[in-house]
Amino acid sequence: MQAYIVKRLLQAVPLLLLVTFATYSLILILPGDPVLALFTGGEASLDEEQLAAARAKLGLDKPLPVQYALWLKRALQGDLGVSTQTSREVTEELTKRLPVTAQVGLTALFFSLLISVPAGVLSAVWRNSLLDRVVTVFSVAGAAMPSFWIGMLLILLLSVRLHLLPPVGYVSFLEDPLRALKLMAMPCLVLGWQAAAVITRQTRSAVLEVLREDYVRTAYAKGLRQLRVIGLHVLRNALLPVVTVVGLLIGPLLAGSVIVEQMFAIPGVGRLLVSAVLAQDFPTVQGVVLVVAVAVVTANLLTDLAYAVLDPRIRYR
Amino acid sequence: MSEEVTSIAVGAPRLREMALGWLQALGRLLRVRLAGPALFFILLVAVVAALAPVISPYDPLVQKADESLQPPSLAHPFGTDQLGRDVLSRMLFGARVALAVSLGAVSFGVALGLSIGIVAGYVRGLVDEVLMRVMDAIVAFPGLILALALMAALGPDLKNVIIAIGVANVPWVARVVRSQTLSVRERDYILAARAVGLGHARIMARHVFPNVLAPVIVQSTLGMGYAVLAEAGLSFLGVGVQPPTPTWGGMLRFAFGLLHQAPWLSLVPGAAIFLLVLSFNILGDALRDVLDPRLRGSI
Repeated sequence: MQAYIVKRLLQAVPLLLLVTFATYSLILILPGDPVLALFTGGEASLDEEQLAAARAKLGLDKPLPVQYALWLKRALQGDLGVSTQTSREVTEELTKRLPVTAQVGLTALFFSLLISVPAGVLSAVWRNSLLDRVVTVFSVAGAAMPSFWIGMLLILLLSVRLHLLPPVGYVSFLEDPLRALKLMAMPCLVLGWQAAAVITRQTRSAVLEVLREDYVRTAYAKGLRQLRVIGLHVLRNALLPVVTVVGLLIGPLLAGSVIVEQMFAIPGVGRLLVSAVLAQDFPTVQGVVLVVAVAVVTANLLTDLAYAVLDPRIRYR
Repeated sequence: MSEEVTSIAVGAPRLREMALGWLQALGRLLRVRLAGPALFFILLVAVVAALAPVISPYDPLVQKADESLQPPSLAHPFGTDQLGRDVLSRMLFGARVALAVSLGAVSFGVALGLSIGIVAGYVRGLVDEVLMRVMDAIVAFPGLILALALMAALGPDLKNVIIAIGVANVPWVARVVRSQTLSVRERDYILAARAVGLGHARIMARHVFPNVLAPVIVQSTLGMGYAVLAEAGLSFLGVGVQPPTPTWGGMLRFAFGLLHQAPWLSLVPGAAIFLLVLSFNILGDALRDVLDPRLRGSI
């Protein structure tokens, strides 16, 4: 087990290096002088001397590998540069906004698990039933609907027509839990919809596969009741692949939060990214992209480790 | 001796047989549930996009201040937007961007992904290891975030939207092609081609390439759906193809601010994106079932 963990951790190191290098090298494809982009958002307001000084400070006058090493060193120390839009430290902005994105993302994930796991299990157990068909239609449609359209339809229905929920805004759970829940209901529905579609499909096919196993037949043959067979024998085995899917959903959830935060005026990392892209605030773009990619790699690593703990067969492969 | 080996090398599937195989596959495809309607809808959008300048009732760019925000009527079946432009005409022209971007992005992804996958799977060893780790690194960036970052660096423009979305397709194609290549390279006809003395580049192009195409077609079709969604997402966020060019995502962006006054503006573009993506997904799944039943549920 320890050997597996060490092996997996060691594999993550080159991947993280590649990911950080890719993030860094985004500045290489910038049209014009990267220093201008990093300091002024593309507008030339520095004279030659200032440019040279800035270039030297960032190490941009050195060869590419050295430039990258210097950038990585600063990033590891928490220095991701200064936003050209707000003149604030990118790290400071990120620390302020990450909890907001996490609050919305995790709530969405929690509710989608709450709905989609039972839905997936039931539609597998009652295969081809009405419920199975409804679940299949929802999950196929969920994967094809643009999240911002789902959001617009929900606002039209729940806010404009029925006046049930406030349309947009954000309050922290710690400040006003009830209002936070009301405000987060729609963003979470939008964000959780696609996650739920994926988890339901995965759960359904995993349960269907396990239902065909010999030990399930044996359990039935022993005379166990269905509830016990499903609860004891099927779920324990079928939910393992679902763990993987949840880990893999971190990326799509972060991508989804870009749109959801923009729609519902939630001051998270996704909204920060969009405003940075529109303002060509390159240090901020790099900072967000770096955090997201590292989060995805870490989530994948943790998923693999969790899987190895839950399923002993993995370790011996 | 050499003649004998050459005849074995020619044992690789020939063009005519392949064409026949594809025709049979099309027949089987249309028998898969909903594949027919999906294909029909995609073709309909393609025809509409091609004929947009001929069939659209108004100029999609002409603004008429006195006709702004009209609800659907006989003159304007889908109403007019805040600048008095005909929504139907803008939808028809928007189809061009949706299809151009998705075709372009998928072609970009397939061209790069195929080359990388074939080389990695055929050469193996260090080259394979390096290429595949780079693919892993790209996958670590969620598609939309990668596209946004690239748009920030490249600037908003149709060509850049295609690249920004296409890059995310590369690793998925490369992975599928690599695993297919790994099995193809062990086949007898590759061995025979090598024995005849064909160069590696020629073997990859003439003998590996045609035999790894089936999963790529499936992946591309599913990739088209993803690209339509991504293009709409970028336009919705205001970083895609810039106004006044009509895009479905851009139309939704402006409809969002007018949900109270003009709810109809948000229905048609959203439904069009949904149906087009759904059609590509259904067609992709159907193609997978027809071309390679072993892949079912694995992608």
